[in-house]
Amino acid sequence: MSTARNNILQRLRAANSSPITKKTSNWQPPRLEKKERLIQFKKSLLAAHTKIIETTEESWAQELIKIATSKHLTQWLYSPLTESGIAFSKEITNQACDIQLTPYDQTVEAFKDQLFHQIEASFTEVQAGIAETGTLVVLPNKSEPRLMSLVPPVHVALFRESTLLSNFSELIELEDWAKKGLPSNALLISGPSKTADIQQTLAYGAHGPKTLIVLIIRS
Amino acid sequence: MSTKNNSYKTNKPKQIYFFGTCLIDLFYPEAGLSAIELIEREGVEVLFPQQQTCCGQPPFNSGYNHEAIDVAAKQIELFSKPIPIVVPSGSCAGMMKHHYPELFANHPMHSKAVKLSTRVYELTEFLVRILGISLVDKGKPIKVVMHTSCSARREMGVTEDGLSLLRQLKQVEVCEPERAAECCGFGGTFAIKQPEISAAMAEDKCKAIMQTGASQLVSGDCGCLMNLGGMMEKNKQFICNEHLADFLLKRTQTNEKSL
Amino acid sequence: MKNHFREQAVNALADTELRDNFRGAMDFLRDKRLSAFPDSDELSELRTHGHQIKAKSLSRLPELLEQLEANCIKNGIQVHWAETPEQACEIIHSVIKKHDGKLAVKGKSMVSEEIALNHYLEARGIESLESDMGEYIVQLADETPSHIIMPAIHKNKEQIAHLFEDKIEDVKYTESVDELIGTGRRILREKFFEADIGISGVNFAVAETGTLCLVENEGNGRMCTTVPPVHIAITGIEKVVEKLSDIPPLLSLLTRSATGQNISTYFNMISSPRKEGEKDGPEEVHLVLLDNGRSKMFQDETLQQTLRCIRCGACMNHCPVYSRIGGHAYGTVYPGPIGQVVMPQIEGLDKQGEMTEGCSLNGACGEVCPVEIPLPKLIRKLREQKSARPSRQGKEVFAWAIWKKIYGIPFLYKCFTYAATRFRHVSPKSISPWTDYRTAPKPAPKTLHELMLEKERLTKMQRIK
Repeated sequence: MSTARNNILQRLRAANSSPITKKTSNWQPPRLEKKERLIQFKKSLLAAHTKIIETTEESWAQELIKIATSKHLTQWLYSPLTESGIAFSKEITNQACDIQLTPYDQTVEAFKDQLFHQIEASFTEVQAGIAETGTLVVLPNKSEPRLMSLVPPVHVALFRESTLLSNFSELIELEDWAKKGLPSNALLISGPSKTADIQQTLAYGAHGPKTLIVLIIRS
Repeated sequence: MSTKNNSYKTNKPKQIYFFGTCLIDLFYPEAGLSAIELIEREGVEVLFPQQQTCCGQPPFNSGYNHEAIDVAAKQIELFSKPIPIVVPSGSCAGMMKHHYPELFANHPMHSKAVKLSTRVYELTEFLVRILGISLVDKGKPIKVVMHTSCSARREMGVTEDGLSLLRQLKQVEVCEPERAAECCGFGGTFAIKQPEISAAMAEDKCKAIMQTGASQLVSGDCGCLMNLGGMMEKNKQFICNEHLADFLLKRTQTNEKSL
Repeated sequence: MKNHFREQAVNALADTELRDNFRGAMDFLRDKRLSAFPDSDELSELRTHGHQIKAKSLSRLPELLEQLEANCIKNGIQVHWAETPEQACEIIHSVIKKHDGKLAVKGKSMVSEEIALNHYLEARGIESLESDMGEYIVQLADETPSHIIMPAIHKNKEQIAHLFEDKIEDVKYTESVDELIGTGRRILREKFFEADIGISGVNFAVAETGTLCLVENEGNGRMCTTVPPVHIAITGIEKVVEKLSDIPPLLSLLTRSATGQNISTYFNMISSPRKEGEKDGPEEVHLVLLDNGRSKMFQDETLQQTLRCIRCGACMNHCPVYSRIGGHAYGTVYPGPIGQVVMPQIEGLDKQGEMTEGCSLNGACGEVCPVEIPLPKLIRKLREQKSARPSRQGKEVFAWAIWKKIYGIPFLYKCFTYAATRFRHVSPKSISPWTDYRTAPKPAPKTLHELMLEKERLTKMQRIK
């Protein structure tokens, strides 16, 4: 055990810590009724410059193709292991569109150059949504690795209204992360990348995706 | 500090202490007299202990606690009756109400300091929330800009009390300068120790005050008045300035003194 | 070497472009924060809640640090402890050397500024490139950040446009913010791609789960902590938080207080390096826990409250002094009110005592602090410590001693005020520095004390009648 560690802990233990404040707070995370959630969710997403397309289980794949063709995006990153990834791939074949799918089925080192320099868009699922702040809960895993929602300049996310939660506290409770531990990386994504570092003027696409499109499958 | 209970009246005290403050004593004594008259008019007896001097804030703010304790202790002993102490300054009221307990922590006079602090009222707070005074304007139409000191605003939470008193005067148009909540730069010894920063703050505040087009500046704190009034006078920016108590009394008196 | 606060402040005040830049920026950030907290009751409850959470974590600081370490290690994160900036830099350098790293990309981290990491690495042949747009701009200009959230806040877009044109190859002058950001994106993307090492700070470190949380809008933080094979995170020991459930209210307070956003674009929770079967993420994650005076701050019951700080910047945004002199004038890593409290404690009052005077105790900072740190009280407390030092100014000691005599002895007070009023016509017209900017205050003909005596006599006489 390092000396620095011991010295630091020793000094901390030697102090009389100040009493915890006697003030009480009645703060509760804001709860939204189910019917209010989608309204708040969409409002927050739109305010953050996210594009929204409301759709259904039957038609989302077609909407996705439409996005690709209207924005002339032909180089897509996707997961061949998820239901929606497979569905996307099928739809492309059905419609015989000019879309090149790159599966994220190998380590990033194997195709880093392509990821950074050729891929124009990515398509991922979303585990849940948070209504209060207009947030997508993305939990990268072996099927949909971390960089899918970061590197490509366009990110399209498939979201189901049935997974919409009120607030972040609810998410933590539901996932039971305190007991189970978290995944190696958990992400809350609330819009396309942005910055106001130049004279407080908003600009999008600083380092992450410049465009975030959410396909909302209504319940 | 919310002023939600702005209009509640507790039982009107028969007697109160008046703590004049050292700035009013030497530079604005008429403001002290006006404040006292506003209170006496409501049938409250005002006691003015002659041995009072200063609340001790100047050395306290500079970190010279012993000097502050020495003088503050004398005020605590002097204002010993369990009656309200009314202070015509947000800054001095704040010192006595919020900082005396802290100043006298670990001191034999701690419990006396705490007890005194519970009896301290800033003037406008006292007039509005305890006396619930009603003002009838006898003056001519005028536009007035109100400057609320940082202590009055943040420590004593009496911004609305001062403004509500002015709003009672029907012929008075009340306004606040732009960035009303920003400090005017006085800060007591700050103006002496960091004069350039203080002046920059005061200049901006004076500019904002002049931009309101008001013909009169009022404030519940003489430190701010001295700071802003002095600067505007030097810069030949012509606007009258006086303590809120003076203004309220003049507007509501029925004799040759009223405007 | 002493920091010359007043001198620096005076120079800053004379820079009209700087004054304008800051005025615009501060007004903008104040409005943003106000809009994010429309309900003052909710704000009050949330601030108290945040205060409680941080106070509770601090009351258990040593155990929580041990718990954080244990859980991080369990998750595969390597934990290092550093008492001083030098130790921290050495640790980071040795990790980089082990991997033969030549290029490090950095997310925004005030702690890394505190330890002067970039200079340390560059002196040893390692390029340490800032990737946050504001930090990138500041690094290009060979300056330091002037604000803890928006590092290039002291520059307007024309100045940045000129900077890019001067310092970046093949970039023409443009004031289009989109184009400027596009340039930054293009250049930094290549660096993310090539970098051997990613360095970041930490906004919250959760002891319960061994998780490092990062708040950002740009995506560079995620790039730094995900693309390079090695991620090194550095944090002050006070950033540890007890439970995961503590995070949502703290996050809400942070983003709304800092930039008026309900949430930042990305909230990144890192709990382990790349796991078996995962296809990206760093192979190694390191956490450096830095003391650098924090355990010393912990010793004083009052000053310990400094450690609640969640680095939102609201205090400086609302400070009338900071708004006019800007961050650089303080001459310290942390500027503004939090700087005035933290820096004298880290570097000592001998070096940083003067900056505690750059405050009018107006209280705007304490009013907006999301975790209710009583900043004015702490600044005053440091002045108290300063006045007790043998090196305190003789003039000031003498002045307060005289003041005590005059105001402490009613008879002397009466003599003094009598003289001041009776000799008012010869009262000094020139009392520098007051009268450099204002007319001198003139004593009244009679004091309130005298007028009250007269009033009492008159009342008595009328009663007799």
